[in-house]
Amino acid sequence: MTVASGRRVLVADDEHDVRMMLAMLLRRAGWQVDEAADGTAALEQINASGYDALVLDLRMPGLDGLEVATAATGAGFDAPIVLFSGYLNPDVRDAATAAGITTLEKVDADQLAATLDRLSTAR
Amino acid sequence: MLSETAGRDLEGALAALSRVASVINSNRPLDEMLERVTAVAAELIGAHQGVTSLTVGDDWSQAINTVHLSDKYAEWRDYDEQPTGAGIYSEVCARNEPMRLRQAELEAHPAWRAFGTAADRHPPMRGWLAAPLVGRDGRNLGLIQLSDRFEGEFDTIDEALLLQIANMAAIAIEQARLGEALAEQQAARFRDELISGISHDMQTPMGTILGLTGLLLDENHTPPAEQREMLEIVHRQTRSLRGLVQQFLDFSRLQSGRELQLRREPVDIGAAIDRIVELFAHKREMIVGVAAGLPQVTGDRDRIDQMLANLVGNATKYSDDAVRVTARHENGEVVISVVDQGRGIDEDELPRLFEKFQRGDTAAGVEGTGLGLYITSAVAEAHGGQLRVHSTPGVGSRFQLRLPARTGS
Repeated sequence: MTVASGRRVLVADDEHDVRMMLAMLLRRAGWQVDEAADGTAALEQINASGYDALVLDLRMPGLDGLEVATAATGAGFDAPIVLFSGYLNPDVRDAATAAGITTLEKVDADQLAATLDRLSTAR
Repeated sequence: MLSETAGRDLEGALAALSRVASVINSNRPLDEMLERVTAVAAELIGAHQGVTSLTVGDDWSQAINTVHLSDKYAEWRDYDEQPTGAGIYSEVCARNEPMRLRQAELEAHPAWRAFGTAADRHPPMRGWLAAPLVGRDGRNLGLIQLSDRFEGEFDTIDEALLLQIANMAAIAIEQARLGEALAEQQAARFRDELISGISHDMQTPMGTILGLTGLLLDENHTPPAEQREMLEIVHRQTRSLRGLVQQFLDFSRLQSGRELQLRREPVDIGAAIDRIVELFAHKREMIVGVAAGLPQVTGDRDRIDQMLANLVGNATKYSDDAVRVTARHENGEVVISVVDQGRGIDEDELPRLFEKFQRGDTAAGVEGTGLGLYITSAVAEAHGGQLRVHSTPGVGSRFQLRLPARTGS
């Protein structure tokens, strides 16, 4: 159905409604979705099982999205990562870009599946 | 003669300097401080006229001038001619050196220009003593001028004293300007944080609503059970968006000094708690306890919901454990408590917690605009009620909303 068929993605967001929305959106796009409600749980899940993509909220209790992303890539994770956030201050945006992490604002949630498809095929 | 002068010098100088020091340390606004410095200089040296002028660079049209005149010159107290920079005073600023002249010497000086176009309104002078205000980098900030000594002419001791007062005033002026610059920076930072907070808080519901309605509109069939869940989320997020809009409207109303508009209707607090708890039940365990026979309150149902949503929302933001919401009747008031087991608030942050943009250190990393408690507190007061807080760091916080009970209900 799509390029993402059978691929696994982890969605980490402490806001229940946002996490549900992202999971529904990505399942519809053919992804197999796991969920995490905070940064620490997300990192444990990433280390325990391989994912083909990560969608991380920036502001979460425990580790924030950028910290999770940095820890994951430091441990060898090399699939696409999308940092998903409300307003992004330029410092965070620059830090993410420098680390090869794509940023997407929450208001553009409906573009998430297309963004992940684009990142996955670009590899 | 010499010892007499020295005695007056020591006593006068110490008194003047300690008064200038206390003016400087009083942390007053700049213009008020200049007025005090001018008065202290004139009174302690003993002169009928004192003027302090602060220039902006060499621009005399922007100079701030404070004038002190004794009762002898009472009829000139409304003199407020802006200096042009053409007078002899600008020599003091250009050279950063004091000047001390008797009236005849003053009028014979090559730089003397009389009083220009303001001649018929300017108070007459009798001798002149002026000291520059010099900044730390050696640039001139302005000057202090005195005229008409109570007795005799200005002497070298007066000059030394005024120079010392001017030096202390210059430090104070630079401090005050630094303070004003910091206050401006802080205001700019608050504006940025507010915009970033608004943007973030609105993006979450908008993105969620767009994402889910996009799925619902998609031609691929969504199972009815999933449709129901999606619509519940859309409904909840739309309410959250409405709350945010209401918050910013309230903020703008409070900022411009207008009163909040409230409906006055009987409101059942137990039902209000149920409505709000339902909105947050998916996030945290909610323990509700409403006393039997709780009286109604008079107020605006939507505003009461708004206050409860703010307090319960905060509790879920700052705590991972169960949130307890209770209501009881106490001395003519309905007391609603929202208790969390979160990180708590430091004691030194509590007094300013209900001020706008005050977010405690413990709020680091948690989204928010810094407006919620400010508005909740204002809405409580508009109802004739009050918001209170009790908090222990590491144990949790208890917010208490006290509203007058409806009589005869």
